[in-house]
Amino acid sequence: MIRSGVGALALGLQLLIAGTAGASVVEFIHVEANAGSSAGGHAALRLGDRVFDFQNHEHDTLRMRRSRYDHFQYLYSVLENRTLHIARLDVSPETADRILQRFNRRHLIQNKHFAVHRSLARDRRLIERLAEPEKKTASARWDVSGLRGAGFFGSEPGTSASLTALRRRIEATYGAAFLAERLAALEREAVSLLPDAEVSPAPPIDPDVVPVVDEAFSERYFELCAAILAIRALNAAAPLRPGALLFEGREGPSLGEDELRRLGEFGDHLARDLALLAASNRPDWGGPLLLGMARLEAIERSLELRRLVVLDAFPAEVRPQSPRKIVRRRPFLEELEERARIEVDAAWTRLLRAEEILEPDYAWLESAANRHLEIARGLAEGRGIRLYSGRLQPRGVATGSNLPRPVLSTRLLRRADAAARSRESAHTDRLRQAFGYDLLARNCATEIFTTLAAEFGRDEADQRLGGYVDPSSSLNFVPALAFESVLRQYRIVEVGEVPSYRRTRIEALIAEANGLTVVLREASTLTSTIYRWNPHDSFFVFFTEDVPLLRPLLGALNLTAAAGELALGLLRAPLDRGDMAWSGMKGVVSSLPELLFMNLRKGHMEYAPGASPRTSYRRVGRVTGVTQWPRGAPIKRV
Amino acid sequence: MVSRFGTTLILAMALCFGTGCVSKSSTTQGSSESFSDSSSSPFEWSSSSSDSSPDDDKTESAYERDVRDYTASYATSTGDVRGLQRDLAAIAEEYGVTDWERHDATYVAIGRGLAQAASDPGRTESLAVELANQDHRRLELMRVAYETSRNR
Repeated sequence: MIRSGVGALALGLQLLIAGTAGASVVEFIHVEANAGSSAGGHAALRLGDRVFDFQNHEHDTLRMRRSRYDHFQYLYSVLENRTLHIARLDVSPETADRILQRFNRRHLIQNKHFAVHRSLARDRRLIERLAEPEKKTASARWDVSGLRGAGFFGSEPGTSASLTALRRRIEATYGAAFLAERLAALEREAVSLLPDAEVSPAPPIDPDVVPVVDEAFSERYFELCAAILAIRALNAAAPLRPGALLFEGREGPSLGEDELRRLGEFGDHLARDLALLAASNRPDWGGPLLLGMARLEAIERSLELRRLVVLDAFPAEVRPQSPRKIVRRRPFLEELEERARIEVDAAWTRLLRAEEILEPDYAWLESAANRHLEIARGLAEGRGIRLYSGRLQPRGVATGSNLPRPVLSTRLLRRADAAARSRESAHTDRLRQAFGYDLLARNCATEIFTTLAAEFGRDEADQRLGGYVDPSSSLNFVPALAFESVLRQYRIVEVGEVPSYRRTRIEALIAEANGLTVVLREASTLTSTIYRWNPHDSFFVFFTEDVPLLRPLLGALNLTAAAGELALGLLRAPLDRGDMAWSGMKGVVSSLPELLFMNLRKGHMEYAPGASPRTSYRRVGRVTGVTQWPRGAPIKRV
Repeated sequence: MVSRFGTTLILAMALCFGTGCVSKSSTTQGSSESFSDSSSSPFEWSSSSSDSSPDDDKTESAYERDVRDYTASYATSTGDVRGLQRDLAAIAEEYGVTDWERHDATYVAIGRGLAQAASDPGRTESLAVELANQDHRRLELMRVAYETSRNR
């Protein structure tokens, strides 16, 4: 268990350190199909330690996603049990860098287009709230919900020594009246803030051009509210709100002298930086100031208690798993706890060795400690556990009280409401126009070629990639056929695969024991030692991936099993709202291709025990002695 | 590699069920729970234990690359500095940085991005000056990175 955690972390760190930002490796990846919405397979492009792929997103759009390669491999080859077929392109470092730059820029710009949409939706919601009858007649102040940073400080009794010291530092630097003047200016701006009541036509979205948008009404208003709350907390030297800290009163492990000294040093640097932030000209300084002040308090508490105290960094929407589910998944959670503990150790090592501790160093410790303490306490105390794999950063989302309300006439609000709705709707249309999903014309495979075509025209692609794959060519929307096109058109240095987790484990078991026994045992979900049924899959009896000749027969048995689940589900529908029937229906659909010798279903893994990486790359073929791959020729195999 | 029969079946399945641009695990709790992600590690943020050097873009971190690439795109638009500051904040947050103004790496990457954009010198200068916010050190970091990149 410990070894697996060490392995996982070591791999992660190696990738992070070695990978940095360059694109030394360019690979086209075809991910085999699996049941359900993955029936056609998937495609992605690896650039160095990053993978870019396209996923269905809200409003029927297709959104570029960027992930770490080790994460991508784990997600698809382990959790989704899908084999990755990989074609490594023969490109110069300059070409690789241009491809990376094109994909990276498009990713960042697309994020901005979707952020604009979120901001327009927030505008509409804020205007709707302002227009509510009880709000219109209310006083000049109101409570604003969903405000980031508002959850760190409240009006609890007590005084924070660290915030008192910070306020004095700010006053000493910028003058005694600085905070009061800045607060007054913020309040004035909030009251006089006006939404845009006119709608002007916006140009269509260009995926390579950063959109120029006016400052959003809601964005600016929330920025002002956060800054007002930050200055209020500073003025009051407010203590942290109950619940802001993780496991308050039952804090983390005790700290040694070195750890305490380094935390103290970071606290000093943080206080210095926060004083500068309070005078920043960036429009959104209030939110980071609130978070920084809350961290300052947590550090002060750590130094007092000589134990690690951190802010609760879990997003509010993450719900604890039920104790029943925890019992069922205990081995998995124990493994996660061990990995999290190792990450805490690594974060401390970094903190102790760094010449100067910077915000990301502390943020890493904070995130790792949150993950570890949450699981460790949950397992030890039998309570619900929150699990979250993304970046853990304290957000402190809560309602901010007694904030200035923009003064707007009913007429203006009505016009602004109509304009906000119109802008949001128009932007949704533009998003669909620019990024709308289309099975044949714009999907995960075609968008890779479209993005490459934006960087290299046909002639340059011939020169730099060895050929050109036409995104609009008839069959390139099918990932498996797109992979074939890549092999035919581009210069390829190596072809390889990452076998699925189940295939990897079966091969390992065959190497250790009687092959026939292993194959027979692992062929069925009822006897498999690798696969354990989980809610991601419909009920099925046989894996048909490895037995093409027997596929129709086993498929028929799977179909019978799925039909049984469907029938039982129909009877149970009043009790489970049709969940079982729906699962049975999906099982029927997944079994039908097997009757035609086609395998889609591979089975999903809820988690996979064992050392990391649980699957690995292996070479299948290599192109030798060929510098210009002849178009249309079959790929050479070694 | 794929037979005609296989091709036909793949095509049929693709048309019937879609070409799978959805990762089931990525949309369920499965992956979020199962993958103990170490992306909060600062190694992606910083190219080394110390902050960036303006003339060393070979060891550029992922954070620096994002700031550079986005600045280059933004500088060719007509967006104002406040818009760029907000967008940089969103990028920095992905790397666990909220106070991005405090890090040399940010200004070095901005300088490189401005050089890549090769936009109007007046606009380049006004963005740099406003981002520096009267801090000469920041301005110098951007200037050196800008000139180094332009001369490369």
